[in-house]
This record gives sequence, C-alpha cells and structure tokens, in this order.
Amino acid sequence: MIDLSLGESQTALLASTRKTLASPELDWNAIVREGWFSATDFAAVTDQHLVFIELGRAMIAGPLVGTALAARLFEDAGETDLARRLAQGGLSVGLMRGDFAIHTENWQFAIRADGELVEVVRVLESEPATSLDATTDLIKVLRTESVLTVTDDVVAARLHVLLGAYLVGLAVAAEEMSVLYALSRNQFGRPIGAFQAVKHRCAEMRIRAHAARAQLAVAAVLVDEGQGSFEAAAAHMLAVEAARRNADDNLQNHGGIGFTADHSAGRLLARTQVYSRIGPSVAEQAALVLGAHS
Amino acid sequence: MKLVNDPALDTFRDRARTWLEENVPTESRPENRQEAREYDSVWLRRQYDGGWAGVAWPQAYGGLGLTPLQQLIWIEECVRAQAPGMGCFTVALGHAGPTIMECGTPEQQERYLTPILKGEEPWCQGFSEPDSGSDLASLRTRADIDGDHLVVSGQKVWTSFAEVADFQELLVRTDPTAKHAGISWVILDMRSPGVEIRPIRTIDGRAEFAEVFYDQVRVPLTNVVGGLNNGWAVAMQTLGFERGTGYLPNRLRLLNIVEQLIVEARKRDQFDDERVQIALASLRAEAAAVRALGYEGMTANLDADLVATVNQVFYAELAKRLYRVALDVLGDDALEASDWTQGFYTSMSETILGGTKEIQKNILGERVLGLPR
Repeated sequence: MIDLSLGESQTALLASTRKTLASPELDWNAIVREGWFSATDFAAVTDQHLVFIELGRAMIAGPLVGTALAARLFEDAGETDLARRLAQGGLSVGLMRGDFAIHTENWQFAIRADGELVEVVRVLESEPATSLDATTDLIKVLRTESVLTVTDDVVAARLHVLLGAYLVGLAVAAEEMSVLYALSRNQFGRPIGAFQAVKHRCAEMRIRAHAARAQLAVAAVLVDEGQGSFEAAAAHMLAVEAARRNADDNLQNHGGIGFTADHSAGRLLARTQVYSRIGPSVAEQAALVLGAHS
Repeated sequence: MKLVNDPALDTFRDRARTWLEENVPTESRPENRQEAREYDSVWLRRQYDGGWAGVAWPQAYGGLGLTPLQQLIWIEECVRAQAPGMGCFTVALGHAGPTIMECGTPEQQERYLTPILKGEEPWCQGFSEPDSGSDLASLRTRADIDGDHLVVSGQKVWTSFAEVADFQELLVRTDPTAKHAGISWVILDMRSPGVEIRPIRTIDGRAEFAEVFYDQVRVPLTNVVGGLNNGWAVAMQTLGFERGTGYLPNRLRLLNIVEQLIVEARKRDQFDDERVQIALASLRAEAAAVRALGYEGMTANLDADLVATVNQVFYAELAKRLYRVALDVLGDDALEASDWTQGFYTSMSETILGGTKEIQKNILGERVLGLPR
C-alpha cells in the first residue's frame, strides 16, 4: 500500500523547483546548481520524478534524463570522478535509440537501453541528422564503445520513471496551455472553454495526465524500494499515451494559431514525439507489462 | 510519498484477512431477488456480529470509524477473499445511512441507522425520473402537504433493489414555484399503499432496476430529512458520499477481471499476436492506474471534485474497453452468449449511471479547470 501524500520536504522541493524553472535567467548552469544530477545528494527517485515532471511541464530542453541516470550508474559502479563531473555540469549524457541519439555528439556519452540492459556508451563516430524536433539535436550514430553496462530491472525501471515523468510533464503542459487559451480566446461572444467540445477535451487531457501521474508516483516509490519494474513500465506506457494525445488535443484546441511555427503548441507536439520515441517502444513495454505478475 | 510500513496496519490487515477467510460465504449469491436479499442480510449480520460492520461509518453512529488506510486495507482484503459486496444494502450503507447521520434528526438516526448496520432494512433510491436524469433538479414527483402528512404522486426510474427494499430515499417536489429550492428529501416506507414497482429489463438480460409509481402515497412529515424544501442540499450530500470508498471495491475487482482476460488470451494462443499484447498490456497498465488512483484518493489531500470525476471517467472507460478487447480475444466465440458478452453489455452502463461521463467532464471542466459554463 502506498501513501501518495506529499511530505513537507517534497512540498518544499516542488516549490523551489517551480521557482527556479520560472526564472527568466534560467540556463544550464542554473539547472546544474539545483543539484538534480548529483547521485549522492539527490538519489531518491521519489524526489527525482517530481522534478522531472516539472522539467517536462516547463518544456526544458537538454540532456536531462541521460545525465541524471548516468550520474547514478557511475556512482554505483564506483566511477565517482565521472559522477562528480556530471553533478557539476562539466559533462552531460544523451539518450540513444537504435541508430539515433539526442543531446550528444562525438566523444560524448549516451544512455542506451534494451530490456533490462542499460548501458552508457561513448559515441565514436556519427553523422549529423535533422531532428523532427528543431529544439532537440539529433545525430546518426555509426560507432560506439561501451563504457558501463548494467543488467538490472530496477535500473531499467528508473529510466522508465524519469522518461515517464518528463512525458507526464509535457502532458500537463499541454493541458494547462489549453485551459489558458480556452479561458482567454473569445468567439461567438464567449470564451471557447464554454463550448462543450473544447471543455470536454480539456477535461480528458486532465484525466489522462492525472492517471498517468498517479501510476508514476506509485512506480517511483517502489523503485526506491528496489522493486517497481512492472509499475514503471505501466507508468511509462500511460505517460507516452497521455503526452501524445494531449499534445494533439492541445493543438486542436488552439485552432489556426496552434498550427503556426511561432506558437508553443507546435513545439510541444515536436518535443512529445521525440521523448515518446527515444525510450522503449510501446511493443517492448507491453511485453514487460505482460511478463510481470503484479 | 512512501511505501506504507506500519506494524499496526499489518496487524490490522492480518486480523481482517483471518476473519474474512473464516467468514466469507462459500455459496455464491442467489439469482432470485428475495433469496439474494436474505443472502445479503446474513452476510451483513455476520459482519455486525464479528465487529466488522460500518467500516466507513463514524463510531458515534455504531460504525468502526476506520481511518482511510484501514478502510483501504479492508476493501483490498475483501476483494482478495472474493467477499460478497453490500448487495441490496448498497444504498442503505452508502447513501441513506450517511445522509441521515449528517442531516437527520436524532429520532431518525435512532430509528433507521442500526437496522441498516445489522442488515435488517435495505433501502433503495428514488432520485431520477424519466424526464429528469442529468437534470435531476427538474424532477416533478409531487408531494403536497395534507395535515401532518405529505401526499406523493409521480414516478421514479432507475431504482435498484426496489422490490426488496424496506425504505426509499425519495426526492420530491414540495414547492412547484422553485427549482432547486422546491425539493425535499423524504424517507418512504416502500410498503405504503399506492406504491407500484415495475422492473426494467436491460440489454444485459438483467432486471436490476425498476420504475416506481406513486399514487397518492402518504408519507409522515416527520420523514422529511434536512427540512422541507431543503432537499437539494441534502441530495448533494447523498451523492457526495459516493466519492468516499463507495465505488472502490468494484474498481479493484476490475483488476481481477483484467487478469482473467489475460489468462483467457493465453489459453486461446492469442498471446503472440503483438496487437493483442499491446491491447492487453494497456488494460493492465490502466488497471494498475486505477489502483494508484485509489491510493491517491485515500491518502493525498486533493480536490474532491477532481478525484471523483477523474476516477469515475477513467474507470468507466477502462471497463468498457476491457470488454471490447475481451470480445476480440474471444474471436468467433464472441458470437455465443457468455459471461464476457454479458459483461460487455453491462459495461455500456458504466459511462451513464452514477452521473454520465458528459456530466463528469462538465464538472471537471467547470469546477476544477475553471472553464465557463
């Protein structure tokens, strides 16, 4: 049985995280200074997942998931020097899937996962590629060398929770963007949020994000207990679905302006596509979810 | 946010599990309505005698006053032990009893509460009418004052347990000049002269609901709960009690049905089809989320409208999807009537009864997201 109430320290963590992410001077250094990549000071996934939801919600771009996960992998493997460099922002780690990688380049690191196997690789040779999201740089990887390999379902679960959290954040961002627009955009003499089609879409967006978030919280608690493989895979599946459908609904709620390149609805759509595809596929997660006996 | 690790709760769970192991009836609930009433009554009495009646009721009214976590444990253990539900005492325990506790007079509390706990007097609900479903406040069943009685005439629909209930929580119009402010919540003795019950057959082959007709039925004024013409506020309390642990057992049982479907798919060698895998995995993931939402509802201090509407819609749509997938898993065998096909038909009501999903989304959109009416 899981108690999902927020403790005092978590409430404080959320408040300070939101304050930092709302700052107009936010840059990579400011993010590093928060200590979110410190495997020694910020180890609990229960806390990490709350931060990563906010990072998704604020649509922060950068090597967030890879760096956070790799810091923990290096620390646990005794590679304290590398872990410290990640914590201090001197080094960052991207994510790799198939032949592609985001947020990394030659001689830099990326995390690659295949079922229970989680690996840190160094990219040795790559080609530039055009990302489907202009704000997330993409390369085509030709050669790598393995730096660290772990076969552990709890480590894989940690990856699923961090990715899932960022995706839930994107799903929440979509819903909030829609509600704001629905309150302020007037047509036919009233805010469009008064029309049931728009109102119900916003309600559905909230339902999806909320359910995914609750499952994610359960998963995070269990991963900190050394369990949670099934729950994390389930949470990741739900987060992918919530983020994708919410990004779509959000653009629809915005009508024509959502279709313009300037508007953030399109950026949210693109970011969601990247993050929902850089992790395990739906089919892979389905096998994991079905393989487990909850 | 943490795993609950409380030796006192573990002891409580052991106690609940042991008692249920020793006391859950081995016979299944009879189909015949009167026999089912007897079955429900015996089960409730056994809980009362065993010190387990009224888990969600305050101690002041004879209940156990369990904490939210204890209630959750009790429900989990009941589902695990496949204990019968409240059956025809659902309205009495979940609606009428709590309403009388909250809004009734000491005399009403004295008269009605203990017989509910003991499984002696089932209740039914008289709220919806043919012309008043989602717009409940438009109800038209009239109650005119005649001396120290109300005289009721009209009709109710979607009344569960009408044929076996002793009492009904009945909403009537006592002031035709006002809408919400002209409604009263009254206790009706179902054995009163002038009450006629007609079962409604539904597409799943069941007849769990009924129409109830009232022809000049006399109800003592002392049966008004919460004051004359104050019934809308009382009814909102009644419906609000559904938001506690009321629906949780059914929701948790859905998890078991998902597992049954997975077993069925394996038996039918459907498991290697990737589309089936994804469909079943989605169901299992969403069922896990139903449990997570249950934990959240009982432990986190969130807005009541948010929790109620999210839980209701998410669960209802999952239930429908579960049975759609089930019929796909059955393939050609779905042509033949079975528990799965009956479940499919019953599932159509999940997004309608207890507040349509449209109303739920309106409430979420308006009261939680702040969108305009």
